[in-house]
Amino acid sequence: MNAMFLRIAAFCALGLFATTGAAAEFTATITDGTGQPLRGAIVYVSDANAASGNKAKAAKLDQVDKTFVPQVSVVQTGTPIEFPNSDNIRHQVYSFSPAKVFTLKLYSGRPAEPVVFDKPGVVVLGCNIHDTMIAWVLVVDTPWFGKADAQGHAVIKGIPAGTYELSAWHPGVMLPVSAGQIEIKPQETLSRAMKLAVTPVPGLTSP
Amino acid sequence: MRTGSWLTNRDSARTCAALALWSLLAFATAYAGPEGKSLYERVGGQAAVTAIAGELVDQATADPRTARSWQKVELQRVKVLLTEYLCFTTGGPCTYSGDTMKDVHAGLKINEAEMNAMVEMLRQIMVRRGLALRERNEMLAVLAPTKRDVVTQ
Repeated sequence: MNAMFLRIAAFCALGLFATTGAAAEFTATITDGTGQPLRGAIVYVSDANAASGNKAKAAKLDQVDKTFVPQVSVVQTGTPIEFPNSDNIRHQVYSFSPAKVFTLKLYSGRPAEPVVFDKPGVVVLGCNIHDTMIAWVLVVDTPWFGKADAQGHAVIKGIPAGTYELSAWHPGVMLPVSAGQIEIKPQETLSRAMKLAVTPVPGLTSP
Repeated sequence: MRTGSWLTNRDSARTCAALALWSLLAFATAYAGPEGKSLYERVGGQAAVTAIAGELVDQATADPRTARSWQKVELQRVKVLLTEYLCFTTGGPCTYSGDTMKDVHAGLKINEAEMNAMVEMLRQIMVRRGLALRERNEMLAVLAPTKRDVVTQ
């Protein structure tokens, strides 16, 4: 009862905070070429001229039952990503992607140093020991991004008013696709339908 | 070598070289049988250890007693590393580039029955390949100490 009250109170406080600022909320509904919701698709807005500031918090990319969780992530450039290894067996995470080349040996019960993703781009991760493991990290030069849920809805909260470049990405497209410019007004709640023609991605089971 | 002269620079260098050579020979003979051949050579060299490693991995992944801990594992990599390991531990000209046996098996919760099943598979593979009892026993003796790092359950 008490916990429930706290949760409601926290929710109300958050809602209050969001509406008092001048920030806007943008929701994209992303579908694939056949009109199906594209779960795991990334949407982000960037403004090359604005100093968006680095809001990069540490992100987590776990290893659960020999699978990366989540398989698709988006982070701001400079974000340290932790690999907690809930499997508690050995993994060897690697990337050959130019945006971040690294190898990280994960051992049972030995926490590893986080990896800082310091350049924008698409980073594909694998595991040397378990060849079915695959994950994608999109590193973007903006803190304003969202990832589509099972219904294809990606929400970006707290965007300051301004003119932004809108982009979308999914492992089924090579590089982020530009969707032109959008104007964000203060406290606006904006929605947009987006289509992304993707090719099937082997190994992407739970985006 | 003259008595007492080993303290001079040139002679001490010579002594060291001789000592190094001697210890190298002692090390090599520790792994060799009376014929002077290492276990690696006697089982059939690189071709044999490669085949043994490959067959053992294939069998262990297919056998219901041991398949559990091999799920989703990149088998080609294991075969390459196990080949290196067998070559190295039998006195062959290899270095092992993998992790320690302890790190490799940590968290897999391998029990005694699973380890015994692997040993049995290895023994059968060696019999099939026509290895004599002595070589089979030496191979098992060389691998036996890994048990304390492999079996954790």
